[in-house]
Order: sequence, then structure tokens, then C-alpha cells
Amino acid sequence: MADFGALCVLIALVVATYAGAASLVGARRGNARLLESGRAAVYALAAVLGLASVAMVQAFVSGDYSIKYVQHYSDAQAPLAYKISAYWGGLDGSMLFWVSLLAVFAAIAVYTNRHRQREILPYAIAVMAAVADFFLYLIIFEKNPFDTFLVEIPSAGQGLNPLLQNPYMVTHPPALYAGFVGLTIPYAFAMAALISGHLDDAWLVAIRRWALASWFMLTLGLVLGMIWAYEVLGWGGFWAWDPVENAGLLPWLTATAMLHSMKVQERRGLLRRWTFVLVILTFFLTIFGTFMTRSGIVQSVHAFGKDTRLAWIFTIFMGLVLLVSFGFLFARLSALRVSRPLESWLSREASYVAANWVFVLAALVVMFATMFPTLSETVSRERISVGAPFFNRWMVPIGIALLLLTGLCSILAWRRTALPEVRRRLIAPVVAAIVTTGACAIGGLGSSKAALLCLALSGFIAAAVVQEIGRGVAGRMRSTGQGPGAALGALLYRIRRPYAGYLVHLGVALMFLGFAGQAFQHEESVVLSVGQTHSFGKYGIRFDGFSQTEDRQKQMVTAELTVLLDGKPAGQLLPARWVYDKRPEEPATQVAILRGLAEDLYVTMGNHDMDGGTAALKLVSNPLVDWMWLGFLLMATATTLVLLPDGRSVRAVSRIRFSSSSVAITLLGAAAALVFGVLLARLRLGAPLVVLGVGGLGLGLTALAWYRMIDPLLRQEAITSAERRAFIEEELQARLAAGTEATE
Amino acid sequence: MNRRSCLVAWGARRLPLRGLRDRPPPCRVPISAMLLLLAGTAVAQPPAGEHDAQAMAARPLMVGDLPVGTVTVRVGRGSLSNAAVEVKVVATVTAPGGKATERTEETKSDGRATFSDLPVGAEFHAQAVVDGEQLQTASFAVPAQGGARLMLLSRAGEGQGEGDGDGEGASAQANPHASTPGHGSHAAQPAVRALPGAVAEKAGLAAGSLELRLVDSNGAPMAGQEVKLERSTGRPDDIEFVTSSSDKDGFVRFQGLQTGDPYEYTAVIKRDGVQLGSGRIRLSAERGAAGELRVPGQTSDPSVLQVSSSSKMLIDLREDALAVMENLVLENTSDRVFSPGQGGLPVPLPAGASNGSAIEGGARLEPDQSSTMFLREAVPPASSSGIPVQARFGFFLPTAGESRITFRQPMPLGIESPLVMVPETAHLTLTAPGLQAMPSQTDDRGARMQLFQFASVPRNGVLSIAISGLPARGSLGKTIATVLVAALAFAAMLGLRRPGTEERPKDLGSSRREQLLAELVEVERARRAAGADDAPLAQRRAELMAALVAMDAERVGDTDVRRPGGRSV
Repeated sequence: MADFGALCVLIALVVATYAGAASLVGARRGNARLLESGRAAVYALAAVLGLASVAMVQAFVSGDYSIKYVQHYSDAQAPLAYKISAYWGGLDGSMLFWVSLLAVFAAIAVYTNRHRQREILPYAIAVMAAVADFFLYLIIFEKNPFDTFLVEIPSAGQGLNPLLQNPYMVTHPPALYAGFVGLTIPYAFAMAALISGHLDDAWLVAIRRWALASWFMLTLGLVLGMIWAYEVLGWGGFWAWDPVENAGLLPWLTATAMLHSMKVQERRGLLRRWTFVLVILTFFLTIFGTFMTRSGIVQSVHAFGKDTRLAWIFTIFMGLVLLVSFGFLFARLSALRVSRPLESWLSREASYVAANWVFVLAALVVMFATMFPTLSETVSRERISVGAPFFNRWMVPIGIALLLLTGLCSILAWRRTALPEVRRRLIAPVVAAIVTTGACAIGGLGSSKAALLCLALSGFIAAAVVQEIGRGVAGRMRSTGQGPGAALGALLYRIRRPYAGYLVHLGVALMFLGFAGQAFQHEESVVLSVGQTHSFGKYGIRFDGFSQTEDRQKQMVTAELTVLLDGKPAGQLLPARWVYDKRPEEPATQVAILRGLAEDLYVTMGNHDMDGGTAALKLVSNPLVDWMWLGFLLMATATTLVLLPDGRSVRAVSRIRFSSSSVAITLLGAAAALVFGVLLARLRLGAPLVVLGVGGLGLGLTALAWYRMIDPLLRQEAITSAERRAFIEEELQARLAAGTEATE
Repeated sequence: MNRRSCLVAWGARRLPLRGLRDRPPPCRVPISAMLLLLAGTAVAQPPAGEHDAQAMAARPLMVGDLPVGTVTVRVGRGSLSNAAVEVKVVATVTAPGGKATERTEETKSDGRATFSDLPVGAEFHAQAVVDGEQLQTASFAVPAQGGARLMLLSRAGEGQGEGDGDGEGASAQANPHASTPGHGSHAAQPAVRALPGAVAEKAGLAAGSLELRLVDSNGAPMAGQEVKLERSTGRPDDIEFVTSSSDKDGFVRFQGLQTGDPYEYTAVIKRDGVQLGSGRIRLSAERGAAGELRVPGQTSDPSVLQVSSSSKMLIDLREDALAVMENLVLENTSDRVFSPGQGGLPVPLPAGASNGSAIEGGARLEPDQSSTMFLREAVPPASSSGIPVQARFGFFLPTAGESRITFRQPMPLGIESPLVMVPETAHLTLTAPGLQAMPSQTDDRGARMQLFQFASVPRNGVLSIAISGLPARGSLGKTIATVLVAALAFAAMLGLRRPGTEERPKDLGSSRREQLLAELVEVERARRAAGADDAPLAQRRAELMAALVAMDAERVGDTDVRRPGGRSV
């Protein structure tokens, strides 16, 4: 399996290079055969790297400890999910996962744009292939996850870090990587537009969904990481300004700015240069984040370790990215000049521009503070750390400014808004902010001015969003005679982008409630004996005793606590310490949380004496923290709404005629698949057969892609005029569709 | 001993080799083999408290570097670092015919007694009495090839080197030779017999008196030098010392000393961090004794040092690296004590070596970050007949998945014919100028070792060894992939050249085609808005379509493609 995987990666390097070379030369010389072959090479790249991933997963599932990476990150006792997630648990595998994702995303991007962006697509392929080549080079020559032991093969694996054996860590890295890698696609198309000189908004149309989907995955990755930190690390919070957390935040900040800048360019034709700058910066920061976590240049519990050579390679690549990208941008500056000025500062685009500045300022602050220890060490040979207080001093005002702009942009119209109208629209949000402030002060949340301001602005945004949605619903009710529910549904379905945007902003306001709540967090450390009750805030915590259990991997000691509210049981909490057999020196803390919208009661167990019947407990009150997750859920829902297939696609699907026989065959097929799946599960052959099936499918797809890559170069048939006419008709339809989409 | 007690496990446990724990143990050479082989003949100085040495004592080690029919017996107090000199070793040699003969040899300054010209196949058994303790070897047959080495260790002196390092602690009292300050985890340096001079009975001196005169290397008296006179009786729990200082004429006098058996005295002084001791002095019951002790001078000229042929290296195979351990035996050819000074004496490691680290039991060594070890211990003159200073260290030499690497270690002091040991299980092949393969040896636990004698390396030369047979990753795939990528890049560069004149119209047609297509899009929109029966628009649409078809045919020419089934890609 190691040889097969290594071979796949080698083939991938050649195929990626071919894809880029064929596309570039094909575009330069107008050679359709090469262009077609280059596009197919991207599919082949995805298929080959898919096979490499299958090989990696199979090695983990089957416990192939002849592969160093597998031996280091898994063991026989690990559950299947953690064996699979170990694929991206280490440096080498994460890079293979990264480039595999990139290949799949590139294949999807090429497939969906094969008719629409013929002029820039070859250059986009070349850029994506170059990025893939870089990571494949790293894999082959520096960090090959398929490297095997040469001297003696260990009989057992070392096992995955206990902290990573958590459902959130199964999902957090792929989500984050999907965000990082997805942002390569907008960069590739932007660069393609710059290289080819096709600087109209066609490239924006091509990558609008990619940018939004990638931003969403990045947000999801960050939130999953926060939940993991909150529920697993056991220190009581969810964000610690750790360098690796910041590595994910940096591209998120510029990507958020980029989305808003793209919107202004689409709607008003402004910020054309600035959008390119943000696309380049965002891609650069994804690579920079990868560099930070993998080179060891920053010190973090999340980092993969120090590797000076890797740091230099990344530095050179990042330098090239900046040089080439801004070089092309500079060369096209005159063509990107916008003659139209900003009409009014009382406009939505003005608020977007201001928000862009604040986002970029935030990114600069985070970047500077994250790199400061490294910079100080370079300059003065003394590593000076920058802690949370520094970040909070800068980021709290920045966050408040962003909140204010978020609220304002909802009430400002495009182009210009008359001052009286602004005053009129501000009334409800300002009243809401004042009411929120008063309510919070009365409720005992007035001790922190920044938090109070944050809560007030959250109220401001919520009111502004509700007001705008209300205006839209009222307008639709007037024009169509629909009821409020139907009008709201129609708005969200038919004019989904602006209204989903409002909901995203509302989600942001809710998340900021969670951030503000951190200002009122308080904690206490106590040592309780069995039977003892301790008073903590409005709760009583009664220690009922210990329970000790074990499974194949670990021993678990659990403290059984009863939470009393007004003297009555309100719930049970079970904080625990898990000691893994493979890593007894790294006991894992299991957090127990009693959730509530007002506050979370958060308990972890430290040292304990089972014989003496005592346990050291850390009790934390986390006010408003659950609003964070609720806010994200709202954001996720709204983003999904935007990403749903548009009306045209839905109509196209609806035109498919379903005969009774086809429906019956489909249902029968589904039932057979279900029975087959159950049988596999019963026979415990699921994993190997699934791997076999996926591998077989991958091989088939690879063969198909290779055929399509080579076939154009060998075919001798001449094309007929009728076929040529059909091609042009296809292109025409695609242009019309793209134009309609852009208008929407 | 189980598999864990291999060289690597030993290294991870006892050697401060950084990063060793990160590498999976290949379990190749047992500790015993490592200790015996690395310690070798004249150089053994195992770590303080090394109980494996005790366990191995009295067992023969068959070696190829001794002449046939030769057996050496090395005697030490507690450990080999504390050599027992002038001890009589009585060997009983029973010939194959059954005739037994008894031979007696006395241990030399290094604690070794050598029995030569023994009949091959004869049963050999030896015994010695050290400090009243009777020690004896196992019986074994004299080998037909090479010779055999044995060691006998008394229980006296156990715990040496574990004192607090100021020479005045309990361990110093327990053993007069262990009073040199310790250096971190390194074993304490024993006093060396570096004070040449004769002590004899002197008429006129009262019994129990000892008068010593200290002179420097030029014969001038040394005033104010502290002298510690250690008394031993052969019993480890009966050791005492008295201290006095020399007067302006260099005289130091002791009185009231005990005379006759079993009392022996050693005068010890400390100079430049090295303890220098006299020979053993016995006082008669009739009169006192007097003598002159010449204290050697000091030099920091490294040219007085050489690395002797007793030096050894062990090369073992590890994952992606070779683990190398060296024991360089330093001999000071001058009559002065060599002092390495503040910076220490650099001992370079091979290029690319990593994780350099000192091994317990040797001289004080410290690594720096540029793959160099620094000796920070004085080296007494070889003529002082003490135990030579040994630079013991280990390091990793990354192999980077290559099947062959060249080991190149600078030798500023040169080295005389070092012995290199390689476990047979590593299947390594060593090549070097003047290399002589010697018969493989098996240690008492069954580990087979290949032995190689290397040619001497002159001063400022390089010890160069080509090591092949390393398990390697195939590089063919990488090479082919690299060549293909380079070829593709080259082809792309050729293809990206500005098209020739005859090709330019096709290129320029791109923008014209774009114009036509844009117009077609507008016409189609207008046609849809106006209804499909708008004749002028339909006419214009058909014209544009025809123009585009013609342009495409001209633009792509014979390079155009057709999908099977007529669908474009």
C-alpha cells in the first residue's frame, strides 16, 4: 500500500505539471486539443490523489505499521473514525489531504466552468496546478506520508494524541482545510483574469460561490475549533489567541473583506483593484497559516513541530506568490481603473469600504502580534510573547467598530441614502440598543463597558436586521397580497442573497453576545470530599463520589456531581480524567457542562484521590456562551440558503421526467444498498470493502480521466460544422445563463 | 537480557543522546557487548555504578586483536576505572592432556595482567586477591583464533564517582582514588600516578614519619602545595587521609603514621583540575621514609596529544541514521599535563552529524551546536602511568534513505589504527584505505560483531569510511518524476514562445471572436425579448453564427477536436 500511495503521489506531480503546461500552451496557441487534455488532466489529478488518499486511509484502517506515519498516529485499539481522522492528524498526512482536496476542488471548478470561462480557465488551471505542484513537491521530497521503516517495523502503533481523539477534531481540520484550500480557487481565477487580461467581471461570477462556500467552511472550521477548545481542553474558554488559532483567523478576516468587496464590485463596479488585492492577500494568508502551523516558527500547542527547512521552502513559495501576484496586478493597474467615484458616504458600499479597512486592520494587528515573538527573537535574540491582553486591547475596539458597521450597512441603501431616511431608519435600532443597555445594566452585566457596548450594538444590529426584513416583507405583502409568512418565504427564496446576508449579520450579532459574555466569566477551584456540597454562584455542587471504568484504550475516572438549584437537583455533571494506555503521561480532561442560554456551568476535574475520596474541581461560569453557537447556526443556515441551487437549476431538475419504472428501480436500488450496508456492518467487513469499493471507483475514474486526457491528443477526426455550431450554441446558452445570474 | 536491553535502549536510558527516544529501537547490540567492546583492552572505564560490568566480570570475551594463545586479565576495585595495580593473578592452565600448570603475572599500571603463549584448547582459570577479597574467573578453553580478555572486579570502590564532587565526601573517604570533583553526570576522575619520584627509608627519621619534597618540572621547590596522604589497608571501610601543605622549601612532613602491613600510603596533589598521585608507599617499623616527588608542568599545546590505537568506534544501524559511538583514547606524549583551557579541546564530529552527546564514564565532554564536542578535562602525561583519558561520545549520522554514505570525521590529533565494530545484523559494508577486516566475534550473549582495523590517520587528517549496504528508499521513481516534470516545463516554455507570424492571426482572432460572441449574446437576448419570429434579429443571429463557425474552423484549423458522440468537453 505504501508503494502504491507513493506511486500515486509521483504520478500526481507529473499530471499536475502536465495540466498546467498543456493549459498554458493550449491557451497561448489556441490549441483546443491541448486545452481539452489539460482540463482532463485536472480530473486525472483529482482521481490519482483520491487513490493516494484511499491508500492512506486503507493503511490506517488495516494498521499497516510499516508506514512510519501510520505507526506514529494510530494504533489497533483506536475506533475506526479516529483511525481515519489520523490521516490528517500529522504534518505529512495533512499535506496530502490538503493537496487532495485542492485537486478535487480544482476538478469541480474546471467542470463547472468548462463552458463559461473558456478564456481564463486555462490560466486558472495553470495556477491551481502550480499550487498543487508545490505541495506535491513537499510531500515527495520532504514529508512523504508513505515513507516506510527501513530497519525494523514496529509491531504496534503509537496512537493518536488523546486530545485529538474527539469528534470535533474529526471534523474541525477537514472543515478548516476545505476553507483554506477552497480559497485557492478564487485566487486561481483572479490570477487567470490578470494573466489573460480578461478583466471584466466574468471571473467574479465564476468564483462567487466558491468564495462564499470557502468562507463558510473556514468559519465552520474555526467554530468547530472553538467548540473543541471549549469542550476538550478544559481551560474554560474557547479562544486564546493561540498562533494556530490566529492562523485560521487571518484568512477569515481578509476573506470576509473580500466577500464584501466583491459585492461592491458586482453591484457598483467599484473596488476592482482592491478586490484583486484581497483575493491575493487571502490566498497568501492561507499559505501563511499553513506555514505557521507546519514550520514551527511560532510556538503553539496546535503546531506540528519545528522544521527549519520546511520554513524556508514555505518562505520562498510565499515570496514568489506575492511577487508574481502583485507583479501581474501592477501590470494591469491601468486597465483596472474605475472612473466612477463613490457617490455618497451615506451608502451601503461606503459602509462596506469602511468595513474592509477595519477587517484589514484587524488582520494586520493579529498578524503582527502573532509574529511578534518570532520577530523579536530575530532582532534581539529574545523571544517576547504577546498575550491575550494585547490582542484584547486592539481587537475589542476593532470588533466594536465592525459591529457598528454591520448594523449601519443594513440600514443604508446602495448608491446613496438621504439623511432624513437614515434618521428614520436609525430610530428602531438606536432604541433597541438603549433598551439592551438598560436591561443588561439592570441584569448585572454593566461591570464591563466594552462588553456593555458590545451587547448594545448586538441589539442595534438585531433591530436593524429585523426592521429591514420587516420592510421587505411589508413591501411584498403590498405588491403581491401575500400573507406575512408567505411573503417572508418568498423573499428568502427569490431574493435570497441580500436577505440571507441580513441573517448572517444577525448571526454575527448573536456570536458577539457570546464574546461579550466572556467579560463576565468567573471561576473557582475547590477540593471537595465525597458528600460535600459547595456553593458556586446560584448553584450548589454536591460531590457524590467516583466511578472508574475502562475500555480497550483507556482508564476513566469520573467524578459524579449533582448540581443543585435552590436546593433541588437541577442536573448531573460528570467531569472525568481519561488515562490512555499508550500515553499515560498525557491524561485527558473530560469537561462536564450544564448548558443554559444565560450561562454555562463548566466543570473539570484535576487531581483526585479515590482512596481518600477527594477531587480537585475547577468550576467556571460562562455567561451567554451558547449564543455563540446559536449565532453560528444562524449564519450557517443563511449561508446554505445562498449556496442552494438557484431557481434555474431547480427548474431544470424539475423538468426531468420520472417514469414509474425509473422511480421503482431507484427505490429498489436504494433498498438493496441499504440491505447490503447492513450485511456489511454485521459481517464487520464494512471498512475494508468500502475502501475496496472507493478504491475501485477511484481507479475507474482515474482510467476515465486518463483516457480523456490522452484521447484529444491522439484523435484525428475532423469536426463538422454542425458540431461546431452546437458548441457555439452551448457557449451562447452558458453566457446567457451567466449574465442572468450576475444580474440576480 | 531481553530485547529492550539493547544498545539503543541502553543509550536512551543511560546516554543523554537527545532525540534518541524519538526513534524506534532497532535492538541490535546488547549492552554487555557495547561495554566490553567499546571499553576494549586498555581503556575500560565504565560508568560509575554500572552493574552490568559487575555482571560481566570473570567471563571471557574472545577478541581478534590479541595474538593466539594470549589471555589478559584486568583487575579493578569496584570498576575498571579504578585499576588494581601490582596484584598477583594466578592462572591455572590445564592442557588438553590433563596436565595442569600454574602461572603468575602481576597487574601493570592499567590493572592488566597478560598471559601469553598459552596452548590452544587448554582450560584457563585465574584468580586474584584484591584488598583481601578473592576473585576468580570462569573456566574456558583458550581459543584457536585470537585471544581472550577477562576482568575481575572487587567490591571495593563500588559507588565511586557518586560523591558530591568536592573530594571530601563520604565516597572520597571510602576510596582515596575517587576524590576528584565530579562533573555533572560524568564519573569522577581518579587520581593518576603522575608524580614520578622515589620514596625510600631514610636513616634519622623516626618510625612512622614521612618526609616528601615537592619540586616542579624544573626541579624548583613548590611551596604551599596541599598534599593529601591517603592510607589504605585493603579494606574498603578502612581508608583515612591526612592533609598538609608544603613549606617554602617544598617539604611536607607527616608523622605518627602506621607502619608495616597492611598499611599503604599514597600522596595525592591536585593541579589544574587533575589529581596526581604517587606510587604506594609502605613504611617500615624501624625508620621513616623520605623522597622527592616531581610535579609536572602544564601545557595547552594540543600537539602533545595523540589518539592511541586503543581507540574504538561502534557503528550501528538506526532508522534513517547511523548511531555512532566513539571512545577516543588520548595519550599525552609530553611530560606536562595538557590543559584544554577555557574553550576546551575541540573534537570534531563528521559532517552532518547530529545529537552529539557525551557518554557517561568518559572524560568530561560538552557538545556545541556545530557538531563538535569539546573536551574539558586535563590530560596527564602518558609517562605518569595513569589511566588514559578517554573521550567517549555518541552521535547520529543521518542516512537520508541513501544506500551508501561516506563517513568523514576530521581528526586534528590524528588517530592510530582505530578498531571499528559493526553488528553483523546491520549487514553494513565498510570500505576505507588500509582497512583490515578481522574475524567476527561473538559476545557472551550471542551478538556477532564485525571488527575492522583501520589505517592510521595523520594529524589534521580525515577518517574516511564509505559505508554501504544501508537500507534505502528507491529513488528511481523520484528521478523519473523529476525528469518528466522538467521535460514538461521545458516543453511548456518552448510552447509559450510568442507564436510566429503565420500563427498570429489565429491569436488575434480571439478578440474578434469574443466581439462576435458578445453580439450574438445581445442579439439572442433581444430576440427572446421580442419573440422568436423577429425576422431581422433571426437573420442577424444566423449571420453571426455562421461567422463564428467559420472563424472557429479557421482559428483552430486541423488541431480542432471532436468528442465521440458529438459532445464537446
